[in-house]
Amino acid sequence: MWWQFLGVKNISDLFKGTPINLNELSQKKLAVDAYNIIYQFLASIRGYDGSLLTDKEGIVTSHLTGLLYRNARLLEKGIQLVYVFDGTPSLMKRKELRRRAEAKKKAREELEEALEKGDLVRARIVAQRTSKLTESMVEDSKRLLDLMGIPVVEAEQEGEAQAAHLVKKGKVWAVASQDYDSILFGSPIMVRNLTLSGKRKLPHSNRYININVETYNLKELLKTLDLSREQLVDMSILIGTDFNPDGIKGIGPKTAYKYITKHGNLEMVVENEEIVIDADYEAIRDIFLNPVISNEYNIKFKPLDIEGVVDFLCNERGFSKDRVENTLKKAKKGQDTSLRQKRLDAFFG
Amino acid sequence: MTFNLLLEDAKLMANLSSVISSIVSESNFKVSEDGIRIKAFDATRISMIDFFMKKEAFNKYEVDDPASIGLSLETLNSILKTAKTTEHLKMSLNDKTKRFEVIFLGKNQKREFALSLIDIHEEGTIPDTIHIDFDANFEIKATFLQQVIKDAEMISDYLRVKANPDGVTFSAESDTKEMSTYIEPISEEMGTDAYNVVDESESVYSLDFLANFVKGIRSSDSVKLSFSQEQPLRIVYDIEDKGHLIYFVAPRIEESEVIDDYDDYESN
Repeated sequence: MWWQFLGVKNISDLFKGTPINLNELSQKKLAVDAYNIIYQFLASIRGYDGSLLTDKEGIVTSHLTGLLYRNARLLEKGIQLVYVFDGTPSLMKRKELRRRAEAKKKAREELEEALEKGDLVRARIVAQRTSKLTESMVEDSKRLLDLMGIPVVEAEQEGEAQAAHLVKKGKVWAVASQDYDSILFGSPIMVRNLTLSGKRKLPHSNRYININVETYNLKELLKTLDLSREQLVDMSILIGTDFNPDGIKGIGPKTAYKYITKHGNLEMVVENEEIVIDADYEAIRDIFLNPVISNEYNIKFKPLDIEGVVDFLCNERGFSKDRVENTLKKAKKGQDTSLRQKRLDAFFG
Repeated sequence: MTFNLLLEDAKLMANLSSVISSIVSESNFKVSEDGIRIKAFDATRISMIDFFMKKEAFNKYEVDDPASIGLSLETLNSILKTAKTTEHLKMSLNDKTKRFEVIFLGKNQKREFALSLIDIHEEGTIPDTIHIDFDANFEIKATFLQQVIKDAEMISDYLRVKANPDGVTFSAESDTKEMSTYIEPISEEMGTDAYNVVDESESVYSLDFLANFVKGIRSSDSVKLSFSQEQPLRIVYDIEDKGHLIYFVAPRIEESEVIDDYDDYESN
């Protein structure tokens, strides 16, 4: 697969999702990791030279474009979304965040170089890696979500963990994410490619591929791999997670799987395989198995405020009024159905 | 052959299939000793279709082994649509090729189609019997209901149905337009079944769903409608004495309820 997973690397070699038609998600509630999605938009919604979209005053609008059109399309299908925003990152994640910050700095230098040379193709590629999320972008995102009637949940720490918690509590049906961490956090169901589905251009080339929405069922997954969730977490620590991004040198998914199935857990792997784990694996394990969760959330799905969105995006951020209005009208009909239309199985049983 | 069925009137099956496939695109098709059945939710689970045709309706009904096979009803419908009034219809499961075979027998000719089976993943199961008490029950001419739906579609996406012992009112409203049709308990447009309405019931249903079902019903026939306040609507269409086509649609509820009682709604 071509995209970069932020969380567990290459574990996809070991398991595959079940393709699902977007229509089958109709009338379902899904929790999404807000930062994950906003970063996707900042990376992919850019001009021909790789620059971000902005309004006349230079305020970035790439993420708003993404949020508007993607959410509208999903609302139209009758899918109800809950956006979960990360809280304060845990100490364990600092190293990974530092690594990302450095990679961005390097990408920005490369971008300047490419632009100086007039190499737009290169500039566009590098620019995708420079995405930085500012305070005001987050504020704008939350304001748009609120106007669209989409509830926001603030996580205590990890958004993925909070989202998984919402699934376990039955508040939503699944977590929609690109990141397999949701599974490690114990979400019974995960949906991948929700905001990517359709025809997508491959990076660095002019080829297109069709991306399907996929579901992963934690129980089935563990059954297929014949692992417990604890073992899956241990295996991921060997490969590398957000909390120990380097993993163990020389250990990929296949070796990690072999070691865990052979020895049962990390402690036994260390004892028998002559490997050294620098990271505090007990703490990492704890983050996945007992994450810090906020219980202070209130999920209310509200009707989309067409006038409010138009006022914000068109009058303040320079979006085209006709296009925004048309998009919102269709979304409103789908949303209205999911808010007011009962499902038949509620009456049977 | 697991089963081998012959029906004299190929056109009848084509009509029924056009109604069913407009609601459910793929489903299990069950062939038992009593008859054939398709019972499935639409993809959004807002409505459900229950189609049954008893074995006596067929001119030949041979079932060695009761079977449940997954079919694309859309594909099947595109095949059945080609049926001519003079043709007989043969449906069977080929044990060797594991394909569903549809054969049209004309006077001196034969047209054959074969369809591969598909895996249907059913999310949750549909109960065998559905117990809902209905406060309003009446029988109405299909043409009348078709007209009501056509009128309402010009106004809104939703149809409001209100019934009391004095009659039934169908209405629709939007910001700028409204319509309403009233019918008395005893009238030419009512069917022969007794008008049985206790109390007053009022519910709103999506026209998209109703229209799909009702437009395919033969205009000369009648349908039986049953519903209660903010409960599902049931439409029963008896296919002469051959079987039935039953359609359930879940209601829309008033906006404020969903938002204020979110947690109750959730526990459903």
